[in-house]
Amino acid sequence: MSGIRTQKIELLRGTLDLMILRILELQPLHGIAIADRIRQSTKGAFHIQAGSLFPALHRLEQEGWIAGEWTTNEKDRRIKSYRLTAAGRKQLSAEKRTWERVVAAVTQVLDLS
Amino acid sequence: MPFLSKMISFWKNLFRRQQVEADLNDELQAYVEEMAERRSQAGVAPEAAREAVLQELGGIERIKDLVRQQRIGFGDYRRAAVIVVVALIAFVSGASTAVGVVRWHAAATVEQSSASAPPKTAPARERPPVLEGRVVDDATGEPIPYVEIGLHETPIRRFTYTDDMGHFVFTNPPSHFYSLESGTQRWAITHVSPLLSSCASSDPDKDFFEFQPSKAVSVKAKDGQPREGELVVFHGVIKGKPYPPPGQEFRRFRYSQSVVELRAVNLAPGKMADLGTEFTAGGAK
Repeated sequence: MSGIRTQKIELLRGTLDLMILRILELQPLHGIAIADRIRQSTKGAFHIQAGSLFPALHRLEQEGWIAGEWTTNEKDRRIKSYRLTAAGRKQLSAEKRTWERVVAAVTQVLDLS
Repeated sequence: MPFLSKMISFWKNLFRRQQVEADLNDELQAYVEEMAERRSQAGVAPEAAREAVLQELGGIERIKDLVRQQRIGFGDYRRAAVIVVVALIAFVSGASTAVGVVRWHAAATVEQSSASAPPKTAPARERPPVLEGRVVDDATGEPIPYVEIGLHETPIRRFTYTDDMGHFVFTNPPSHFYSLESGTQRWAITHVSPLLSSCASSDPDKDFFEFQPSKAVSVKAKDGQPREGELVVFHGVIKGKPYPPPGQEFRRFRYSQSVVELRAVNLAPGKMADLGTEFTAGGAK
């Protein structure tokens, strides 16, 4: 297990968490719809696979930042949709701030002349 | 409330496992069916579409495993008797317990890639010290995956999970005494493997640390319940000086009794089976 690999995973995980929380801030959605929204809003830059999506959703649920609710769709299929909790809202604004700081800091380095 | 929901989640994972598993199955099946439908709408035959989705996933079971790794308390709790094979106490200062499944790497291990490069252009990078171990089932010897393991360094606790093979790793452990514990009461069993009863340093000229063969004792925990376990005496040489100093004895209680499910009810934040504080050795026979 190399440190570099771990770091990369951590970074991706954090980014994915942030995107999921933000998407769910707008409306409750189920897993596929969340991935769809991420893909649409990033113009295809992020294609979230199930292997990343579901572990992330369950992790966020476990943290209490999102809550899963079961409904049935028009085909009478059980669908688990997720909504942002109050704690999730707090987490989202904290992560947003962190993200903005990271972007601002990296931009400063890139803009060095 | 995050803590409350964590506890609810933990409780569900622990005692409503079948329900959690069934829900997970439904959730993933719904995913597969919807993705397959999309493909068949694009003209692919339904069976082939489903097949393609499953292939893309690498199988539903793979996704389930990935999800399970995220859920605290999802290990196989029905295996009551468990040994958490850990070094209960160790030194960072070079003491190496290169015995059995618990290994203590000294800080000077050179990474292979660095070692092959010319030393002047690429100075050898030191591998960060790690403490690793394995959690195995007392009864069967099977590794236990996805158990939370805490590294307790007063007042800080760090956590990790065992992997598929019951293996866990902490990098940069503290440079003084610490203890390892399972992160949940359910797994709060710290029975140091008999393999550790005579561990030697990898560098005999430097420090060494020995775990003397232990004796079985029964002690009274703070909750008034008796605990069966062992009393262990440690001694060694650290930086050329004997430890503990002459006339002193360093003892640590460790026990091998499994913690029943009921304990999860009383699970409080930060309250874990830290043997150093939760138990008094006064009841030792």
